[in-house]
Amino acid sequence: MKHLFFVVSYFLTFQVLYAQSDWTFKPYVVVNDSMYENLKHPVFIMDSTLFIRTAEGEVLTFPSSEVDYISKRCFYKRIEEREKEHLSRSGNTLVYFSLVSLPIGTYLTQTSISYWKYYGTTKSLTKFLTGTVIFIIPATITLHQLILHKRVNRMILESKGLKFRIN
Amino acid sequence: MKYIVLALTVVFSFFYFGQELDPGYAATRSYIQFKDGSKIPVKKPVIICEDQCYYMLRHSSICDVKPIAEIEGFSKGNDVRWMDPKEFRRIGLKPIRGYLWGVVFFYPLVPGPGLFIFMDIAKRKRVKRMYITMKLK
Repeated sequence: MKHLFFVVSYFLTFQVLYAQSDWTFKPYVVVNDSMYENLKHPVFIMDSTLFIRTAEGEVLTFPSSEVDYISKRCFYKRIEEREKEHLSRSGNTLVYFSLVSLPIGTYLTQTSISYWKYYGTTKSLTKFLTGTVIFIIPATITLHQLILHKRVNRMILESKGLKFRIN
Repeated sequence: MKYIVLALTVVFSFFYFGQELDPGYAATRSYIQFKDGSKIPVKKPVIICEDQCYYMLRHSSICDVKPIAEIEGFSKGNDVRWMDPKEFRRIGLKPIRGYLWGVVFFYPLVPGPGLFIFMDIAKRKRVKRMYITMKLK
């Protein structure tokens, strides 16, 4: 009974905290007392300018001095001088390595399960960790970063009034 | 038979140099569209740096620059990159390396990474050429 009380109170506390924070709302920013909701990722600040993309796909920019609040789910980041250099670099080779790493990692992880039956825990765990830690996780992080870089690049260009994919 | 095919390949390859750009040619692959409605086919990548658009023409490999105020947009398949002036200068002045890695990966290792490394080198060479040509103008 005592355990149940602790478990229920733990989940209730978590629920209250979650409800009070802005994790329950979709990404939004407040600029000059006006709210922009349902934003798409990424939200970033570069050269004292906030870049956002609305749900309709329109890119808006605001001076960072006018920004009142950026919600937590925006995961906003500041693009420093060093990161600007990364934006212009090609990611072809990294994409290739990541796309090759993913099936290799999946294969190792999948076979580690069958190893567990026949060769014991140590060998299968080694294989499992190799598959996930060395192949799958770095590849996923790299791909995610490259996609974000591409989106940031596109947003900067669209904020200058350029259009993409015209017919 | 194989000598005939080889000879024909060599002969037809010379025809490439005899081509002239048709002014009425409608660009279908990667191109830049200007606000006056004209389209020009370009090679990858296209560089946007400080309100200027640097590009290389597809057929003649001539580098050119236009202010982005004159540009309407870019077609699908373009590799448009926004570049900091410092980064543009760095790529423009830095020697290109990585041929050895490209060759080593291409053969005897797997050809995929080698191909991508060579693609990166080709793009970097174009950026370098754009920078040097624009500086010389």
